[in-house]
Amino acid sequence: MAATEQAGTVAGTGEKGPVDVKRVREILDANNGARVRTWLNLCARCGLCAESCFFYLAHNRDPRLSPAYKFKKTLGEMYRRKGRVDRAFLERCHDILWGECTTCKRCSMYCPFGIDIATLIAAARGVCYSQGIVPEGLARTLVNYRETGNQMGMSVEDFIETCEWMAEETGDEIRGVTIPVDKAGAAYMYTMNPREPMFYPQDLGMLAQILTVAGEDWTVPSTGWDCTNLPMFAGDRPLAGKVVKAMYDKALELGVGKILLTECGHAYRSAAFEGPYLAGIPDGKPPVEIVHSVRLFYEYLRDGRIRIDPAKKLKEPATYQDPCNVSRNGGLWEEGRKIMAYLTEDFRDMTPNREHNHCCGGGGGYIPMGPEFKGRRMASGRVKADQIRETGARIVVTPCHNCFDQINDLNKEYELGVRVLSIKEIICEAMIVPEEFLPEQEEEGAE
Amino acid sequence: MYRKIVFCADLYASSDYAFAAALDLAEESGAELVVLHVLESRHRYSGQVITEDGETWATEEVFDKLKKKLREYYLSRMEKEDPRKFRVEVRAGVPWMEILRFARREKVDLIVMGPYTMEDPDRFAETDHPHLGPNAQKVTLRAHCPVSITTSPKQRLAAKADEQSGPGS
Repeated sequence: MAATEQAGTVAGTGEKGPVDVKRVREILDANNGARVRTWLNLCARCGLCAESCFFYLAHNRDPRLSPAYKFKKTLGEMYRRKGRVDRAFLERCHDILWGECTTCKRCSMYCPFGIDIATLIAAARGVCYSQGIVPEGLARTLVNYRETGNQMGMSVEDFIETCEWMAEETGDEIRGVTIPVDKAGAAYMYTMNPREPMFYPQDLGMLAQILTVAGEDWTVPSTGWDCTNLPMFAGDRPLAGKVVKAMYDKALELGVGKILLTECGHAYRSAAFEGPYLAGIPDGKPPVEIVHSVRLFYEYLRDGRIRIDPAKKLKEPATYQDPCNVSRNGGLWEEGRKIMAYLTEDFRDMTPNREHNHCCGGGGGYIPMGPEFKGRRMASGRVKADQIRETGARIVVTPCHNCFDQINDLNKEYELGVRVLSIKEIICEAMIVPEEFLPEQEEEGAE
Repeated sequence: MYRKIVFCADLYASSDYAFAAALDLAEESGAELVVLHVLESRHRYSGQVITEDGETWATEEVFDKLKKKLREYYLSRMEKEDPRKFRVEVRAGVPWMEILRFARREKVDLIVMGPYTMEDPDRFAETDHPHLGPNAQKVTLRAHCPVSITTSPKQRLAAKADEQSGPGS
């Protein structure tokens, strides 16, 4: 499908009329601080960012896919034209901004001037969004966020029922499992990706098992439980702020100690780093401490609150996919590897790895953008597929749902022959369950 | 005895046996018969589903189109043209999970299903040689109510149907 056919999918009004230049200028002016001005003027076109970008590497080093080209051709051009842009231009931008960048921030590490290209791309996405130009898959989720506070449009009743169901289910495996809803003063408020309760509630069940065995004091909130933030990737900053604020407000209302995030990459970026700014918090700090599952699981293993049965460690060669927003942008790359040391016998790191690891190609809103973008997602994912294949691993562990989805797709596309696992499912399989948590045996012949 | 029976339509012709068995039992016991199909998600966290038209979003339009087709298909296999105790439901997600969720929510008394699964299309040709797919396995192990996996026309659930079939059937 041609790029311009993909573009023009709309959010909000669905209008296809002329560009509202006044609105475009307002957004450009709002972003026109010293930082963005400096970055736009500072780029020396040295090309060092190009080699860092997996889109560039996957497409025969096409210079049009170098990060510098991408921000120059979009936001740079918007400023150069002083906002006087037409719809055809914005639709070409749409193709670059969403189809050729996952805002993984790897290029920023390699830019000698430290230009944060992802931030420039995000600003340009905001301009396109303001004119109703955004990938359809993202637009769909925005409606759900507005109406229900979560990207899947799940009602409070359905969510609570799912929690009750999973408490029942897991009670058969771990004695005493509960999933407390809205418990005031809990140490942790667990927030999740709505795809968990909606499509794979076992995920919540597994988390409940781990927290129960670890003796944790925790709760799930009846609202504000969606820690994802796709409006952040769609360019809808006001909605992105509302989404993250709903989570912060609920944590403050319940008086919990910390907010615990599920194994999701961009949720960490949103809640811990970008969210405070999106929500208008002046000091840029979340009002409640944010803890990613990777950190908490590592602490449980380190402190012996969760112990692994050595006989149940993964025997097959396994590798670890660093989600960009957990490792590079979240700083948890060593914790991920320490967890792997507890859970695997034959760990094989990818090259490059840790904060230098390549994006899988599913981030930045790419996975929810849907089938229309799948061809390009598979093509650019070749870099990740090659990285995985070179490890010889049969298992890929990743604490991110978008990485999980993307690597499953790459597995089929490139016939990698791997299984993709989350950390919590390996812990659940391998942890030593103390006697007090073993399920009660049903008496034989009991009525 | 049974107030609500759910038949899980896997879209394989072989599950017609399971449907016939569920229908017999529903008619005999005066139970409501629900035909449930789960559009399988691409991966376990995916909001996109696999349909006969390819990968797509799980929208109301997709649900309604499939519901209409399933209703026509199964009504054509029923003697009563407009049974009041019959409905078709479509969900999206991981099939075994959605079947269990539906059964729990709707307080279903019995789940009837065929043995196969869409998860493993390479084994599609093997439907002449029944094997138990992962959805049937997981539903059987985890459901709160009895589950009947029906693989042949000889396997009937209603006592009356057994009598009609005669001894040894």
